[in-house]
Amino acid sequence: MKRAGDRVLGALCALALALLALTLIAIVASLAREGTAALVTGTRDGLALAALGTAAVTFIMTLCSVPLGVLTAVYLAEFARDEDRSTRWIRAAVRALAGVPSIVFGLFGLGFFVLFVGRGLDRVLYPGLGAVFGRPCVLWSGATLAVLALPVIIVTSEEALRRVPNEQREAALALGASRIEATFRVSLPAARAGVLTGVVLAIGRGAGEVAPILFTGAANFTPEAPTDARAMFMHLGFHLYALSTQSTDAASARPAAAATAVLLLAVTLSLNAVALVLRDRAVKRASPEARR
Amino acid sequence: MTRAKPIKLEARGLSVEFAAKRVLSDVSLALAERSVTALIGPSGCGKSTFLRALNRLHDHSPSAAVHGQVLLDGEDIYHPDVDAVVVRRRIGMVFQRPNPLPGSILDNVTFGLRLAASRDRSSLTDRAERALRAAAIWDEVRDRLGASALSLSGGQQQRLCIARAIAIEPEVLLMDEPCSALDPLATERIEALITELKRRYTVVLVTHSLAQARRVSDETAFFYLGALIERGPTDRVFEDPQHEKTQQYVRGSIG
Ligand SMILES: Nc1ncnc2c1ncn2[C@@H]1O[C@H](COP(=O)(O)OP(=O)(O)OP(=O)(O)O)[C@@H](O)[C@H]1O
Ligand SMILES: [Mg+2]
Repeated sequence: MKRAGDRVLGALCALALALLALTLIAIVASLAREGTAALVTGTRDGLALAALGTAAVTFIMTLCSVPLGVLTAVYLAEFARDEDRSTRWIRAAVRALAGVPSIVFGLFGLGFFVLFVGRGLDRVLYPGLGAVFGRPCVLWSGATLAVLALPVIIVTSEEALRRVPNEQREAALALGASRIEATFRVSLPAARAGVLTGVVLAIGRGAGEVAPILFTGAANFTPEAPTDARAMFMHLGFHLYALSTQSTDAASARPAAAATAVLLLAVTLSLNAVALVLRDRAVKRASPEARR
Repeated sequence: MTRAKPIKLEARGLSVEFAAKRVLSDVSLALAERSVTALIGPSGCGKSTFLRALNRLHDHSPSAAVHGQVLLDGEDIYHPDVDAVVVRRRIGMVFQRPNPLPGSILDNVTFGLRLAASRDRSSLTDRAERALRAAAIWDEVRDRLGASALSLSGGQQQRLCIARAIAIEPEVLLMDEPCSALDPLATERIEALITELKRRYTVVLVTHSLAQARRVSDETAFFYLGALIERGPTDRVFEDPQHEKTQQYVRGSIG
């Protein structure tokens, strides 16, 4: 009786898994069929520009979020006292941040980065010149994406640091290391693979997000790649959205849209693959006994 | 004979609490320079806790509170003006479980030296070699200084940890059951090493092996339930224990 039930459950699981795999394969295959052709033959300027723009905004996002996120994780894991109120507040804030829908980040980015920070800078640096920083651009899109990436980086890095055995910190301290030295020479290097996993996952997530950049810098079309952090930019995800919704002849835009989707998928999937490899290494490193 | 030697390290009224639970109460113990003092007592009686209080390792556990004084050459290491980092350079520690750092064997031995900002490469390797020789492990690792420290056996790792501790030339060496994970042969080597180290360092040795305490120590201190019950020259403590609990412990009826 029980065993029959087990077998039914097993079959259902296998079915679900097969469905999932099939869906993924179907998506990738149909996109690849339509898209790669368009990629090879009718290379559009728009696609190249969108790829460049994605790279630029992802780069800015990484630059803004990684140092801040890793340092916050270091603070939480190595220095904060769990019973302090400030620690509890930071933790709660990080968790809340992780749960916010990404469109809300877009709105926040517009209000905070573009209008508040950007306009504020303009008032100080370029009085009377109009909007230089105070308008949507690749810088503020990157900053907005960074806020989205922060909780992922903080949570994974903190976990990686907590997995470093305390004996290693004490080994360093007993040899005359200060706590800062113990952190940056021992804990952080030991947690490196785990921290990197979080960073790559966060970048992967950020690179594919469209909602946060909608109002903060993405453009339908720009004549050239952004050479200035204060310029607007094209983005693969946004380009896909624009192609699919704004063309008068939706059918003719399909190949281009598929090509865009292929590129976008390639970027995010390969970032996730890198994260998987790194996580694998982190797990192995965490248990050196298992390796011996 | 030990009376003739000056006092190097002295605990005065030392107590440790973890989250208001008293684990060590009012321990006063003076350690003579260039001697080996064995700390013995049943598991959980506070030996490691005492040892860690001697180089301020409890500083970083938020639940721990240390009261009393620890005088190193007559100066309290817990005085607010004293930097724990400086204290730990003078009072080295070898832990109960070998804890090599990730990285190569050479990285491990030179870790403390590199912290102390001696950047001269050649003197670094020279001093590493001296420390590895002193810890009786040089012959086993001389050909693979660049190999990962984790590739060593447990006994080799423990000797590497000893080498690492003496590389920065501390004045006092605290050793918490350095042989608990080792086979008899490695144990013998470490014991020989301790006897050798005594010529330069003041050694405090926690051990569960009464035979080991008898073999290597000059003085023995017996702890029970967080208190120092009895201390004295090792032969006297083992042959003529004054306290009833000590008698029971050294004769094997408690612990
Ligand atoms: N960080 C800590 N927090 C709370 N209690 C602790 C902590 N460290 C030690 N204790 C408690 O203090 C007591 C003494 O522990 P300690 O490690 O000093 O014993 P020990 O004599 O070294 O024992 P063993 O011979 O088994 O190593 C134990 O009851 C232990 O539970
Ligand atoms: Mg112990």
